[in-house]
Amino acid sequence: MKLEEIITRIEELPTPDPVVQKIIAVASDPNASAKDLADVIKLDPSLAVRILRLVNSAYYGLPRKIAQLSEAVMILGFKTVRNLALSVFTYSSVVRRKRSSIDHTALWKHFVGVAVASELMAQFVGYPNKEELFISGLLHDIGKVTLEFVSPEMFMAVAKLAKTLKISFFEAEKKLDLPNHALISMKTIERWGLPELVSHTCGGHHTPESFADSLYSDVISMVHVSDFFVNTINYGESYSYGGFVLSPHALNLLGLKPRMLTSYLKKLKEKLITADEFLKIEQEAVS
Amino acid sequence: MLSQMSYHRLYSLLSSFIREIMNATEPELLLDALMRIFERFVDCERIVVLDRDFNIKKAKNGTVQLDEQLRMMIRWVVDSHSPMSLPQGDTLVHIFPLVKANKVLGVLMAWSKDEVVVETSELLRTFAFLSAIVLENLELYSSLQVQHRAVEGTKNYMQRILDSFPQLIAVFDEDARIVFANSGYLKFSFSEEFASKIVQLVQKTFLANSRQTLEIEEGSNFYSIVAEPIEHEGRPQVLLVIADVTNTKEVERLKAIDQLKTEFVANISHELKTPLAAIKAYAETILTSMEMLDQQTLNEFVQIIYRESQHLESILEELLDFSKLEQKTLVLEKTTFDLTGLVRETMKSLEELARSKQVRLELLTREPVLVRADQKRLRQVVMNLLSNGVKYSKENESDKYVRVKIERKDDKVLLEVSDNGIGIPKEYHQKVFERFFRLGTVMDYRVEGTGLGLTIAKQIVELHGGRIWLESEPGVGTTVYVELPAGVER
Repeated sequence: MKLEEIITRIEELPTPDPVVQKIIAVASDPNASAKDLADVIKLDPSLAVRILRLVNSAYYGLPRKIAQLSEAVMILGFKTVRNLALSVFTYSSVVRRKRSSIDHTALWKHFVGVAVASELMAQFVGYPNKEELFISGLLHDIGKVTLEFVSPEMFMAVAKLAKTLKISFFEAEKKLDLPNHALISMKTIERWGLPELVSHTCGGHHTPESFADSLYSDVISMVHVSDFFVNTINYGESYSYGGFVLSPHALNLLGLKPRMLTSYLKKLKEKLITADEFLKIEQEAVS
Repeated sequence: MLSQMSYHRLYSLLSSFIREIMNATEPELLLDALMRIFERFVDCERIVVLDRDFNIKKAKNGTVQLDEQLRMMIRWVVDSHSPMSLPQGDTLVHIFPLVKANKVLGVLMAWSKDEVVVETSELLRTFAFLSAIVLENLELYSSLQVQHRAVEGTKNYMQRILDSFPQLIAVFDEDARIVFANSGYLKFSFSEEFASKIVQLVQKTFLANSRQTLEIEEGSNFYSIVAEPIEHEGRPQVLLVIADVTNTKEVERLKAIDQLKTEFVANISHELKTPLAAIKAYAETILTSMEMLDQQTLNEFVQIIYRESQHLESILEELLDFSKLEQKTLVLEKTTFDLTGLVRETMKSLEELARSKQVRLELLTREPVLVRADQKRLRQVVMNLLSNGVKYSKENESDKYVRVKIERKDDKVLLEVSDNGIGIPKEYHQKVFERFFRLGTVMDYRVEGTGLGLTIAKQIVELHGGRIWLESEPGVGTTVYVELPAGVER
């Protein structure tokens, strides 16, 4: 199957519902205010409830409880609230599809892990725009979901090969001469109308060296390194079973030293414990 | 609500900010610039900057009290690196962290009625991050400056201490260039020879890689130089210390004279005792055994007493002369006389001594040589030179002699007294003229004398405006030259 064929099938994928799309649009509008964003979210009460739950979760660890959405937008920022809306949407489109045979909960956990790891990495290397790192981390493997949606058989073939040969999902795709999931992620995200930074970053997260000239080469490297660490500590399931390679190019570009990585890993483990709420978005939806 | 930001406005703000931070030479100025930028973006009622411990460092339009809840929010902003707009009643408190990676440098807070749109928020956050980086650099720079001042202060302090040393101190690199010097060294005017000797010593020290010392006589001063190999920042250097040891030398000289004086006193006591003992012994014999002595024996005894008292007198005379010469109270009584005649007479009076030592006294000059001088003093000089020649003759030499030659040369008269005696080693050629020095002492020769003879001779000659010197070779003989201004026409 060629990438083009998959792309045509992407059209059939659930796109973020109108509310989420509007949220993305408002968060990207340079002249939007907190109230504008809050007003959009309020259109979907269940979304609003779930966002507020995440806002007050241990991950953000705010000193006081936030009850109002507009307050949440002002305190946590537009992009964070946008990220939360997208998290809720992605969760729904990934985990709630019960007909699938794969463990979506584990895959979602991997998404959350890399989102948290990437945001932490931004803080570590002194990259101010850390919210974009969160969403890039969260969506970096969305291509796997797309692939599984387009062809569950193909997804299972790749996953099986990776498991048998103890290699990564990415390497297995290459062996089977399939378009890699990073590129599918990029195409999927482009369709959702997210900033180019996010789509490019997801597209390059396995091959940061070939994106060395990209405007977002540092962001790509951050997600790449974060993905590596989340895989090595077995947080969630990415359907990769080995062959994790840490790109020296990415480490050099970010100026990461082994001593820094050790302390990063320690912080990451602490941070992941606080991200529990992201794994249970479903529960609120049921109520 | 802020109006839509045009690209022109954005770029002009960015440019202004860049200009401001370029000009900020200290953290205070940078924070001022950052506050101005914020005011241009947000319609602020009040704006404050907190330090890393959240104490108010700068405030514009009145200061504030930060309650516990606000402090907790600030702590959260700093820890999560996330700016926040916190609603407080109808006012928003915009809190921006000034952090760099995991380093907290401060917090900027602005109170405003206005909400901030996405773009402005992102921009302000970027400015805050940029400021943090510049702020850290400025703080590093300031602390470096403080350190630099401390180092500079210590350096000056050490320099002052080193400058106060009487020694000249300098440090040289491998090319023998000065890398450090105290003021003593810098102010000292080195002669070309002195300077080249220093360079040689420095080079030698580098080669040997061990301490080298040198003593230099420059003019009337003595210098002791010590060169020590040292290391600085992995490169070899040489530390040079020059000390003026002239005073030390002078003390050493005085000590030596003192020593000679002590020896002199011991020596002179012996010299005085010998004739005195003889006089006393013969006089006692005469007194107790007068009637038992025949006329001839008595005569001999009295002769001895007379001779010994003469000897005693001459010793005392010598001492007196020396003391006069030392105190510069000797006055010359100049007359014109024949020096040849004076030498001849002196030889006659020494005939007995010469015979006893089997030394021939020869006067090679026959014609009279006139000179205007103190006859009595000059006789002393001639006597001393002749008797020295006789006294220091070689014992086993078969043909012992002391020869005198007198010549008129232009307006000068040259007296030469040569012998084939024991001679004087070269190192003592000068010393024999020094007071209290006795060749007999250093060469272990049992010859009597005060050790003042040549000193007195030298002083008398010099008092006449002449000079005295000698040529000598041990085992061959000595020639003493006395050159005097003639003082009369030929």
